[in-house]
Amino acid sequence: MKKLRLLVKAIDSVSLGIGRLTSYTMLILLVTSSIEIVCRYFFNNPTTWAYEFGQMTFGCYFLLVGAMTLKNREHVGMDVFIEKLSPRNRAWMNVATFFFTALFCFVLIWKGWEFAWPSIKRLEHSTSVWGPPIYFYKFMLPFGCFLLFMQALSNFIKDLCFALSGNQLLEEEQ
Amino acid sequence: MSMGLITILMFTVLLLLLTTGLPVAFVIGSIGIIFSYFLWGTGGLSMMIYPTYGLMNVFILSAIPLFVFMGLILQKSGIADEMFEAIYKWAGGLRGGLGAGTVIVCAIIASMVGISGAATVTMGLIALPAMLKRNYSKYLATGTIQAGGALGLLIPPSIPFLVYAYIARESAAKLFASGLLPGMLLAGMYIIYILVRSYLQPNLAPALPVEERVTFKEKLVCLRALILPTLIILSVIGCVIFGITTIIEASVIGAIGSMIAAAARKKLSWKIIQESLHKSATVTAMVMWIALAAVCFGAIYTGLGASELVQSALESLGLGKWGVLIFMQISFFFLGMFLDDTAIMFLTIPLYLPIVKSLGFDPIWFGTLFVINMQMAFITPPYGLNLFYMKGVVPPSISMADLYRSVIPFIIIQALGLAIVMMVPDIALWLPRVLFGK
Repeated sequence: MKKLRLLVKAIDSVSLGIGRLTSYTMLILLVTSSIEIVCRYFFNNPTTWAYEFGQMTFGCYFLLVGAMTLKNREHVGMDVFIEKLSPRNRAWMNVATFFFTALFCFVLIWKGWEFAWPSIKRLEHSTSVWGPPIYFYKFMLPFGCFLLFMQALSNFIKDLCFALSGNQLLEEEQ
Repeated sequence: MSMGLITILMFTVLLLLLTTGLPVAFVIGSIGIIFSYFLWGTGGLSMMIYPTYGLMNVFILSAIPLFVFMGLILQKSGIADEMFEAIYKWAGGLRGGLGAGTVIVCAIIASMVGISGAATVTMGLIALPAMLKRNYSKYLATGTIQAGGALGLLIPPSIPFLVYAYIARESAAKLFASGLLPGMLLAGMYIIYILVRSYLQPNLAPALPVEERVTFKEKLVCLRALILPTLIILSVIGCVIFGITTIIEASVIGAIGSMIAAAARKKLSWKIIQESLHKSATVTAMVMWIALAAVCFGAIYTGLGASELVQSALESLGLGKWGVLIFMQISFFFLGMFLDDTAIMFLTIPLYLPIVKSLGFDPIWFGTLFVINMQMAFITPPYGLNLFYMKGVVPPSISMADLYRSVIPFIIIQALGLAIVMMVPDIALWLPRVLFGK
């Protein structure tokens, strides 16, 4: 039980930590886009990297924040019906649907990895002037899904414990 | 198994799984995977990766967190309170004036944030207690806030338009421009409804007592606080619809401007920035993961030949040009009762748009109709998001059933507005035509 609690706590803090850290990258995006605006409109000399940088930052951004959103249970779902259930039955319902989340993550990790691996093997870079590493970016998809899966697992453990015992595994969940 | 049968089965399972409360993104994604596996084995699953990677490279959607951030900063700097204060002083003396003013403030706040939940919650906390205290009917008061909050979908900057622009490969600036007038039209219709109804039934929305009204000078003073935020919002909208900057650049300007405005009121703190950053990340993750799951689902669905299926099914109904369009709107409305707008867009627009174009309708106009329709979805029971946001902030004496009842007149007005924009496409298309030419 103690180990389980430790595992769940570890996963939760990784999700939260990565999610929070990632949400700050928006400030970086703000700065680089401002530089681009100034360069383009005032000096008529657009940067070679700002567009691609923004694109890649955003791709990583939403992939890495997914797990935090799941940890806070803020992915929208239709909860009209299950709200009528008792808390324990609701937990059972979440336990039952874990399979679907896991399947989604699993396939994306698997296929995403298949897609990223050739790129990683040859350390692929973008063909643009700036030429940032693409392999790293392609790796983000399976990685983001892996984080999401771990968080789903953590939620699953928490729900299962609550459904079985009626007590929350972590005090903060109350 | 025939294609039609598979489609029906797929959507039935999808709706069933939705009722379990599993997040929309995972429902759509996993159902897509399961069906693809049974139809084509594991080979079919590889089809999902290219559109997913494509989605990661859509730069335009990075305006989502920036717009949300702009709105949150403005909202947290207390602008909603001051706007409502101003409305209270200006319109309070009129029967239903507070309600009519709330529509305006809701529309402004909601358009700033781009997501309607924030406006509904904020106004639910600020305007609702004030209206209830003045003996406003609880139905009118809550209905106004929910419908007003949904206007944010239509009035730029708007996130559904950004997503539509991506899916339909249309110009987001044109779409923003096309949403402006219909948004104002709807706001006007709500205001007229509130004023007329409270004129006929004074007990629904009484005017402020005379001793609470203020002098003209005080009215002017309270406007001062609104100058800076209004300037920011107008310049963001202006930058986009006059084509001065790209949408992303406008969102950057808005985000920086909102921080300046907040700093000017001495409301900017690291804590507020931090909270807004986390919140915008969450909202973006919500939208983008649904989008990600929906493009996976869409890839499979297209692989099934769904577009031909839908096209031939619609043709076989023999509805004619307008019949098809109305049929689509009805399908949006029903899907809107269960799914959220991003999911509906990714699932239906790729199927519908070729048909719409072949019938000779304007895709920009179709996008506007879609977003008006989604506004209805936001307040239509059982799964209207605004109903839930509202329920979170109302006093316990107002039940969910009250809220269901409160939105009915507004849904009717929205349907009317939708019909008007359908009959007079120029309401949506005039502004983009003037600004961007044909």
